[in-house]
Amino acid sequence: MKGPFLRSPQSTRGLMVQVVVAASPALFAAVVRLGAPAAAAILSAVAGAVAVEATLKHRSVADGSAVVTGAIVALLLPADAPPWLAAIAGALAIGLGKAPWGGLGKNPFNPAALSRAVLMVALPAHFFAPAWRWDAVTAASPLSKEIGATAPSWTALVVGDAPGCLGQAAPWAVVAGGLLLVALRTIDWRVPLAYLSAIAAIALVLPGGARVTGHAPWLVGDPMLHLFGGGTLVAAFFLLTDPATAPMSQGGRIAFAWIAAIATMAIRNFTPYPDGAALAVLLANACAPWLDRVTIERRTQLGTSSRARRGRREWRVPWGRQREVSDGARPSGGTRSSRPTGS
Amino acid sequence: MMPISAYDAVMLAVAVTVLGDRRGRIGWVAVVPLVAALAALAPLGEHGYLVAPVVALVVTLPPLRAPAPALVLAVPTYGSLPAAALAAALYVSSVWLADLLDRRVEERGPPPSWRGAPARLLVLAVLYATLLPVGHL
Amino acid sequence: MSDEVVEGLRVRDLVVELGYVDRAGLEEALDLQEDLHEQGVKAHLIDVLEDLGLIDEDQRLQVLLHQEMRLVLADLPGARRDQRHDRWVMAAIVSASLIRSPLGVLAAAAALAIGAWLAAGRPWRWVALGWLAATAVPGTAAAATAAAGVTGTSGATSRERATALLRAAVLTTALAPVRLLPVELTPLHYFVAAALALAVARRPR
Repeated sequence: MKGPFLRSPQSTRGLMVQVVVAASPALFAAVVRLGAPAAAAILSAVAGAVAVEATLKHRSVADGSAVVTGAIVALLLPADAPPWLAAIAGALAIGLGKAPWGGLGKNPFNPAALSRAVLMVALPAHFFAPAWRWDAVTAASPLSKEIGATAPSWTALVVGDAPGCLGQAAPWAVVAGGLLLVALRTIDWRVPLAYLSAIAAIALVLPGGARVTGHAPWLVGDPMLHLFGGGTLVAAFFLLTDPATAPMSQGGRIAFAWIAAIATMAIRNFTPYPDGAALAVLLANACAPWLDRVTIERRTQLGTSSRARRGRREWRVPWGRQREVSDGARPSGGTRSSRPTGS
Repeated sequence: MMPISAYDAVMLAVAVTVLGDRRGRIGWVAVVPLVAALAALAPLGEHGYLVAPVVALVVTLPPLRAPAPALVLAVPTYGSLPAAALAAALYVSSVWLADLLDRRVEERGPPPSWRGAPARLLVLAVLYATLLPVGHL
Repeated sequence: MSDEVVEGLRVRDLVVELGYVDRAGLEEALDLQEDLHEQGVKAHLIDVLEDLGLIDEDQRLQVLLHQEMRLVLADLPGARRDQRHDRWVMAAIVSASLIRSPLGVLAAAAALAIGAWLAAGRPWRWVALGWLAATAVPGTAAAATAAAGVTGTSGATSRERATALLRAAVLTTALAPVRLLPVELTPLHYFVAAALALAVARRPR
């Protein structure tokens, strides 16, 4: 190791290869279950991401981060996403989610979640369809807000017989990929654990009621539906663990996962949105700077403390707001802060 | 003319606050939805058209420091006082989040052409999409 | 370094731009600073502002951070095309978002033009009253509000406000046909479009 800099033994490219390998089972399972349309969507998302990356910053294509982003974008897409939508999603993830912020490691929001959220607002028809296609059969998503939709069985959820986004095609494969990342220490195991346990706990304690059960009565009180439905697992293992968009401290990351879990469940249960995971991740990303401030900056007292600053100044204007009650005596001089003020 | 939704108005007010009219009176601006909701409840009968100018007067003249976001927040019709309170809370929390993110973005050094307003607008776009479910509460 | 960059570095400009101090407060602080100078005390304006209670410790730090940040940014490509264009673009976004019909967009443009006329050489207070008058006319409340989008910038001069409003009026008029598109446009569309447009405009050539 040279100089004062900490270096990781892992290169960026090595990390990206690990993530792609971890995402591969889920992507492969989606192709096996859904066939050519899923393959076209995945390839389009990756191609869109790589194309924009190559256009804007061609040198960084080699690190493989655009491929990772495209792959994760694909996992969040609806199962029947057309290739053009997937390509736009991949392109947006890089074009809006990464490049404007300065590239890899500087983005405050997870690019894949950002891409899905922006598309959900800009092209809602593709995300708010009342029923998603699955194995040529039209069925309601497990987290559909359709009143009267029936709950799928636990087996169907785990194996992937329930409809939803591409990442739901084989939840077991997402879990396997996630556990691989944990084993390789690529991600912090506490984040998915905190997120998933909080989701389960909230699902158990969330009381029923008109507002909740009006959307999907069978959603209440069943943690399995929430854990294996929607983008929960993808968010737990692939979105929330992005080091650029998560807080730096361990405590901060756990709080970050809890915020995401609360937001996920709030969106699912109290709003008409089909799945809250991506939006919840973005909300947690937005809170990350605050969590860093609370958990790191205050503890280490980074920055200039007001007391220290006061100590440096040898005089103060003595009247201030009490100018009219002072006797008019003014300071005769003194030194001031040496910082440039431009005045 | 189709009225603007309370959520859109709040996010526009946040944008105006973050990009132009600065922070001094965020608390005052946050009161505007409540003032507008109360004014709408007033039994004015056929003189209902007076609500808009009166609200504009109330929200514009006293502070004279943050009139733009205050006026934007005065435009939509808030269904009830709780809805207005939610809009106020959304405004304050969104400005807070936008500030935090703005600082984070500046610290990390975005490309020169994206510094400042473009990055802030992107942050606002993401916040708009992220907080959209709040508009349905 | 151009004059406009230096202009944005001064504490007096920053505190107003950041909304911490209004014109009256700034005048008070400047008077006091001048008095101190006459007494032989060379006080920095930011110290005077803090001692007068016009800014607190956090705001002081923010001002200094902004100043230092701008000093760094001033030497980077693209920094010299300052944020002058941000506000009228913002005004156009606000007006286009608030108004949901092409005719309404034209009304907003008219309101912006009236605002420009009012802003030229007149104090901000009169501009506010002009908008107030506009809101009294049924149907133009949104247009008048749109006009408020830019001119609420307390640091700008009357001429800058007028120019900004005129530009916003032109852009708002140009956006009128967009309303005819069969797409439900939200502020998100405008935010992203404006961010891209501003970033492209600032790209070093």
